[in-house]
Amino acid sequence: MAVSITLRQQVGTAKTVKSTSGDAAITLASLANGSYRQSTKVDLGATFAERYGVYLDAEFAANPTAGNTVTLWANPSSSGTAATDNRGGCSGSDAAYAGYSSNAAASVLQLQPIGTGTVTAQATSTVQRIFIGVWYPTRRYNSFVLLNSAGSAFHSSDSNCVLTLEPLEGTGE
Amino acid sequence: MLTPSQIDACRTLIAATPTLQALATAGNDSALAEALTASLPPVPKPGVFLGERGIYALLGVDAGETFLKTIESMAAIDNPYQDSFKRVERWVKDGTGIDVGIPVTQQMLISLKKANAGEFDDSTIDVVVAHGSQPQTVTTDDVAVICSPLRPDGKAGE
Repeated sequence: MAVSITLRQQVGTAKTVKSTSGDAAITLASLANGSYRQSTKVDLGATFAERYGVYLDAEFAANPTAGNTVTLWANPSSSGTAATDNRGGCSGSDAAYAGYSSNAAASVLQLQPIGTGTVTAQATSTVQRIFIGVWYPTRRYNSFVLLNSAGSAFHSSDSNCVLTLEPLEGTGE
Repeated sequence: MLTPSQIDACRTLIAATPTLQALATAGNDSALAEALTASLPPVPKPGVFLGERGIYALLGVDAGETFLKTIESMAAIDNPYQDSFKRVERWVKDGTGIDVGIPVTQQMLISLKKANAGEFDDSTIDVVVAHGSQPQTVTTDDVAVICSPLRPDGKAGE
């Protein structure tokens, strides 16, 4: 007798990374084009989803260049302590990212790539809501590194800038 | 990707131009890239060859004919560059063409303009030099490098 199985999924409780009141902190205010910023560590919990949908809400200080990008990496860590067990020269704190010896572009390649989102030429006050990618976390604790290549700095107020991690969970049917 | 000297030129231009400074401070690299591209002088574009037909097409019949006759004249009469003009005349006529996108050719044309040599007129030489030139295109990635000393912590406007 054939057994029919339907695999379904649902979106679990999201984690957010933003300047204040998130599950982890990243200050994107005024982050210049061509510059990197890293976050504190987010705790996904002792057991966590296999996959996360990753989204960025971004508001810029001026019109970005259509087709330019923002890129995101994860720093998987076995420790919730900021300075412990980091990859690619990450600090685990909310700070500018310089990698090893101020060589961010080379150092960031040691991190886990999540994805690249494309911006459009929207005026300030428009919050661009960008799908970055599907992320497969490998460790409980993760900080993030974001490279702004949009052609404009982020807005000086980053209250509208949020990185959202949505777990994609099987329903167990 | 700009050369170090082009990056220095852009930094000097920004420092001397309040409107460009304002864009740099605001982190508006997209607009700054466009403004710098419009402000920087064109540079030679190697590999732009012009023969007889190309000169006619570029300058039109009258100015093209004058241009070619001046080259022939400079190749025929005694002058310090006669041998060079003999070669140029041969290249123009045998279909090889002259590369008007290399600095030495452009410098030669411009020096002829200054010397008021033959029948060349200034506007004709300007057209030929412009044909062998290209804008210095500044991208937002270039602007990030240009403005990096102003943004030691990766933040604009501070």
